[in-house]
Amino acid sequence: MEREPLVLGRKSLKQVTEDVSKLVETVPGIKFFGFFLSVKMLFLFYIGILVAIVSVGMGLMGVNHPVAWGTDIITFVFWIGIGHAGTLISAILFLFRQKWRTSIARTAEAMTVFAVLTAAVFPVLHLGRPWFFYWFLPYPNQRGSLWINFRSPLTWDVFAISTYALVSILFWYIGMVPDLAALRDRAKHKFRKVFYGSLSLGWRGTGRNWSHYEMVYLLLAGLSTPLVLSVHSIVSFDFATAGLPGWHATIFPPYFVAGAIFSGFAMVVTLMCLVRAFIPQFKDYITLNHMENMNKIIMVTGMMVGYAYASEFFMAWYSGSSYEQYAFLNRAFGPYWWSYWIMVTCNVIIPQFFWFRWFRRNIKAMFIISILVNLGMWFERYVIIVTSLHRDFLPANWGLFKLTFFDFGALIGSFGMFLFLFLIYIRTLPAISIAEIKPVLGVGKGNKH
Amino acid sequence: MDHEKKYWLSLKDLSEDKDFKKSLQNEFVSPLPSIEDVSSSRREFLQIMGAGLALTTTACLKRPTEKIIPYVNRPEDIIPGESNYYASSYHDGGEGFSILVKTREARPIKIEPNQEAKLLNSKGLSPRAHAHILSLYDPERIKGPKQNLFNDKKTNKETINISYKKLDSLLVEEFKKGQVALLTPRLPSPSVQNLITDFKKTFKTKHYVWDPISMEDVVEAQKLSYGSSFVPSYNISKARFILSLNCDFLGTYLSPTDFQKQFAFTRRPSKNMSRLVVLESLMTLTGSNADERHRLSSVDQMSVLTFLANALSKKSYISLPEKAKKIIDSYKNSWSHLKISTDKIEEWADHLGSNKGQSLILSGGLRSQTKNSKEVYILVNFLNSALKNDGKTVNHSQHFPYEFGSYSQMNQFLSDVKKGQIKSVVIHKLNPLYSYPEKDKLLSALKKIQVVYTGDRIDETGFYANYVVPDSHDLEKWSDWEFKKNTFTIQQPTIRPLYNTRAFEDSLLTWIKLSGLKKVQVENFYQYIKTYWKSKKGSSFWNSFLKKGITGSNKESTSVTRAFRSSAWSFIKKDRKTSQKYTLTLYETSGLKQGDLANVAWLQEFPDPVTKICWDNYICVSPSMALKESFKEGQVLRVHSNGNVLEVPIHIQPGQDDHTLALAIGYGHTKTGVVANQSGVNAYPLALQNTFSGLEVSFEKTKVVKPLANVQGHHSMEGRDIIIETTLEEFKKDSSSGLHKHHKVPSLWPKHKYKGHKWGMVIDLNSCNGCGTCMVACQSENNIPTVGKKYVLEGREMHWISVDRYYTGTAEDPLAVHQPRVCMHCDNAPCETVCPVMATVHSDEGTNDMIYNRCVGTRYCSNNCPYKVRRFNWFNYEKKFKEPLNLVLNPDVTVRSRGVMEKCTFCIQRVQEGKAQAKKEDRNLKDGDIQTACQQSCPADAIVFGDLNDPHSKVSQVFNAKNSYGLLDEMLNTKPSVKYRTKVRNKKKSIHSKKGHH
Repeated sequence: MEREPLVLGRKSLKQVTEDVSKLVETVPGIKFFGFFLSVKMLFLFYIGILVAIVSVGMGLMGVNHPVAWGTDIITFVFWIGIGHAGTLISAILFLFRQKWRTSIARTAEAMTVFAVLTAAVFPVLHLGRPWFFYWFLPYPNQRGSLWINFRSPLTWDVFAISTYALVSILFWYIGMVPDLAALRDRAKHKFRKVFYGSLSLGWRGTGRNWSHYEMVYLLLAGLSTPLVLSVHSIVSFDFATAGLPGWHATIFPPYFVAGAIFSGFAMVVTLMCLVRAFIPQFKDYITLNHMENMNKIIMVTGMMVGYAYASEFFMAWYSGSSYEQYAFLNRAFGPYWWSYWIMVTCNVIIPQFFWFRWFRRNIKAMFIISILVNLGMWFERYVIIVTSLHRDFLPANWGLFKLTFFDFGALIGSFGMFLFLFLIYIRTLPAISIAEIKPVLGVGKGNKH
Repeated sequence: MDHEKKYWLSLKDLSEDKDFKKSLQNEFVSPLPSIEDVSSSRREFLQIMGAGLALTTTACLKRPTEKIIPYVNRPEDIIPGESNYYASSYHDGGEGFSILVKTREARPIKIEPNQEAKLLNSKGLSPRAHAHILSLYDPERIKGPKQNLFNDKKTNKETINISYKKLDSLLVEEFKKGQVALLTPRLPSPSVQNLITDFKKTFKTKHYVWDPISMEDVVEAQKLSYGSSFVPSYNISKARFILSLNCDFLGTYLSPTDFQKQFAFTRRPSKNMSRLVVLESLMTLTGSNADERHRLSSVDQMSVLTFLANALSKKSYISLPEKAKKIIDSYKNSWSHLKISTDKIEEWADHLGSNKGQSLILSGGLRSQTKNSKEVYILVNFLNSALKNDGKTVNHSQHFPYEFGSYSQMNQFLSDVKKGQIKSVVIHKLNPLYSYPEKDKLLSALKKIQVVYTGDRIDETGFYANYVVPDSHDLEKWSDWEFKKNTFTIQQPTIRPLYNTRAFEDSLLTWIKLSGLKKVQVENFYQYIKTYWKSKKGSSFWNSFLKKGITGSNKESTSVTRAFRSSAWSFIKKDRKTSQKYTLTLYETSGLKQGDLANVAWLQEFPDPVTKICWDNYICVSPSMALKESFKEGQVLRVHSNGNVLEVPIHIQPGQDDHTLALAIGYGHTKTGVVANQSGVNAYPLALQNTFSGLEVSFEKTKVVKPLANVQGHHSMEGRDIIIETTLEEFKKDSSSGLHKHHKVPSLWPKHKYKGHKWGMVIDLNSCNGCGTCMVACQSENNIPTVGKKYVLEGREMHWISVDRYYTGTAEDPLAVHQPRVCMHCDNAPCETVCPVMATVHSDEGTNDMIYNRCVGTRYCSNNCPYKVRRFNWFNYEKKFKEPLNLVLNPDVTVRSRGVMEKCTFCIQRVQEGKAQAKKEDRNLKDGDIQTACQQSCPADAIVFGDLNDPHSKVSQVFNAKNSYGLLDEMLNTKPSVKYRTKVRNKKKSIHSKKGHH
């Protein structure tokens, strides 16, 4: 059977370089600047919100007693989850030699890096005294015998996330080096020469360069692979190791990882739809086949997540603990029933549309579905955190949680930060891996390689 | 010659080096870089060092220097860091306490009960007694005497300062003309009464005594029944059957703290355990503690009592005079309308009859004070006499001495002003333009005369006074008190007046002296009191009085029975129909009472023991009325009564009578201070003189919703094992009834070893009545900030000890249980494992310690705490302690900054102090040396604290008792150091319908 080509339009090698480099080498149009400025305003607004919260106090946000974790932790888990698709595409699909990954890998990795950076703000922001965030780090200090508590899942988080951020950034950057060198070589402007020249680390394209490069890339892929599983597992320990009904569950690690991949792919789909819409020449590289593959993954992981929801209910019933049972009934039918049903609708029911080929291959449809999936995933964390906390063991402590202006500000503003970074990336760095695309040009074109 | 050109790459190539030839086969010429090659040079190293130094030094700014300056001449009795205690008194309406004032570096910081005062209150105080220390440091007190300048309409134009010298000469000039009046509340103080008599003699003064919460009808009924015009006290500790009709004796009536103590004494689960039946229109603290509670509108009180009297006589426990029979017969028709089953009342008649001399029928207080409450009280007096309770459970020999205020005296005052018999008035310890129901009438009267006001602020009355001569705070001045007949306490000042204020008594003395009309030997009121006591008890008595703080006869007065005058029957009228659909009851809360301490934030944030709402008053309606009228919680209702209109939010109160609406007085100040002015509405104008209950009322709904700040999130236990309740019958069979502790839960952690002490606490839910005094005591001891209504609504109150109240039974006829909740100091503490920075750790004495300056505020500990006892500093609350409020702070307890977690510490500062004291005295720590603040304040003695490693300590004897249990321990294996003892109700029916498993 003849394979479908991975890249459409019978591109020559030169064309590939041209297509990708054009984006970086031309001045963006008014449309882009309009979008960029509004995103920048949102980012500035976000910074304002952060400054207000840090200088006045956590009290500005909706968190209270008993719901001591709120928007910050919800949004943190949300963004960390988003990041997972990038790692999965670049590392695991690489190791499995899935060649279709090449055209989306770069942007997915960039998304991972920006998502992790966006996420990293929140654990610091949610602290009562954020200026002491470095107390989480186990370094020799002059504060007597003070040390960190290795039994605390929050300490594990610090290691998990910092490792993840470092490896993702390295992976993304290393993969970019040959393309950066290509840009350097094409540069006509002195500034560009210096900029790309310094970033490309003296890449000459020699056999020796390539040999080292491939080895490092393989090693980093190997290193990132366990991270796909470990990071969100460890984030889920924040909840799973606590004694709270609704949190205290062994299903959390796989459930969180599935959810993370689910939301990550949804975010990649969202971004790719936008990239396809705004950068027409990329349609040949990011084809409907790519989108369909990702939609299939969304559907599969969506069902895994749905299975987890169901098994939580089963476990609550099976445990025989009235506290657990109440926690889950309260989720579905308590004061926050709407959040639960938003979650179920968006995460379990909506992705079922991808059983139909038309939905998998229709850009508008998948764009809407992918956004709904991410909405659902934000609500999943909302449900886990808020509904479990607001009614726990002693009814006298029960309370409600309301988002304040600052909660919305932090949540929406974080998108400002993410998109700001993403837009800068798309016009300054090669958004598709030129070096990796060229070897797969022949796929499906009869050229036997 | 070899002309062939030779190309060579390097000299090595030229010389045909073998190794080189070999290396040419490799693709890569140079070896791969290794880590050894990247060592930095010495210069680079120095550069980096220099940069690092520059960075670190600029980051470390110098902290501001704080100097600790020692005394140049240390006062004799002050040792920095050590507390001094002074015996003093606190007076609060009917209630009075002998107190110890804890001072540090000469500033009072806490009120504690005087344990020497066995005659009065060796244990326990009221929330108000604890909180009144905060009013000493109220930033809104005026700093000296003031004169108000009025415009033509006699409304305040300007307030100016005036010197005492000028003021005194002006006033004495005025007083000398005669026609001066004194308007005060009841002042149960022998010396003050003496002084007032002197003042009256000097200036031909009339003294009017008025209290907003008047006992007029009770006094009147006593007078008619026995000819003695006083309010009797009650020996509740001797009662085995108590029937209370709208009398909240555990919450607000007369001296509730004393009654709580006595009541707890009778509640020990044994065959002599008392039985409490409460009939009431609104849910009170008393009703929530009842063994049996029924709803009874205050207008139906007579029907129940007449039926009861009839039943008692039918069963020939008592005999009724002919006169009485006729009256009782006239009520026959109303008996058929009673909502309480008549079988029940007959059953109570049996209880009352078979416990003659050991039963008690109680009625009194605002909730029962209807238009015809005098008749109710007479009938109650009759029944108590007929049941031989008078002189036994009704203690008239140790009654409340000195004249109680009455509305008739206030009316007399008003008419005397109208007649022109009064030219000027001195108003002391009252704020009548706030608390007198007919404010306009009073204001127009006061505008006619010269008003001298002794309040400490320009409040509602102060605003219209010509002169404000600020009285010193109780903690700044001398006095003596006689709260109970023949029991005297002393009030010592504990600090020099903070401002240029002058004690009211010193003012009177000064004015007497300046008038020249009467010779006064003494210079000030201190000497006046001293002379008074010298003349009474001799010169050596004074010092011991100061030391002990209390004196009186310990003898239990002989139980003389007073004869009930049959003439009293003629004051009881026959039944007259009342046909109102709804009536209104005004009541006092145990936090604010009449409202004089409304500017004390601790009391505003003190949740009502029953509704658990703070910072507001609200109109209570029953659930079925709410359903019928489709009311919502917090919906604002426009209430019309007595020609006044108020807009108040609704609170739907389980257990409320269906035809009664209820509203608390003491709220809604307008000029008292920033704290007082923001809470609630003033309900006094709805009262009809001294009628506070059964008032006519009409209402209309509005669409406005004003949320009420309820500190409790949910009011049912949802069938969970939180408060274990059992009945006396079951308890007698098995003291562990209701509990099931047989799960053995394994633990992953090794057990902690406690070699020295191991602190533990046991809270007896059967003694605890839920009054909440512990909350205020804890707040005072541990520098706990208040947050205000807005943030209570957001769930951010800071109390380290909270008292949970859960309703049991139906919404119409519930009972309630109360549970004080502190940090459990778990051995397997869930909070300790999750803190990433180890800011909360386990001590080797079993406490769970919080290290504030290590805390970064992840709040994970709070999430993982199943008891949710941790409190977070969402903002910088320490800023709230503005001068001079900061003086009230306990220097032994860290003031927390924003962003850190805090919680109950088991009063670790007291534990340390106790240990240090024992070490200093070279002895072992004794059980009872260390008392936590909550334990010390508990009138019911429900909290026991001590060393669990000491087998003889009180706490270790009850810690593992059959009826004690750890909260959620069975479920979570937290191994708490706090245990609860089951609640026992004196009931026959089983509470535990299901012996279920979970």
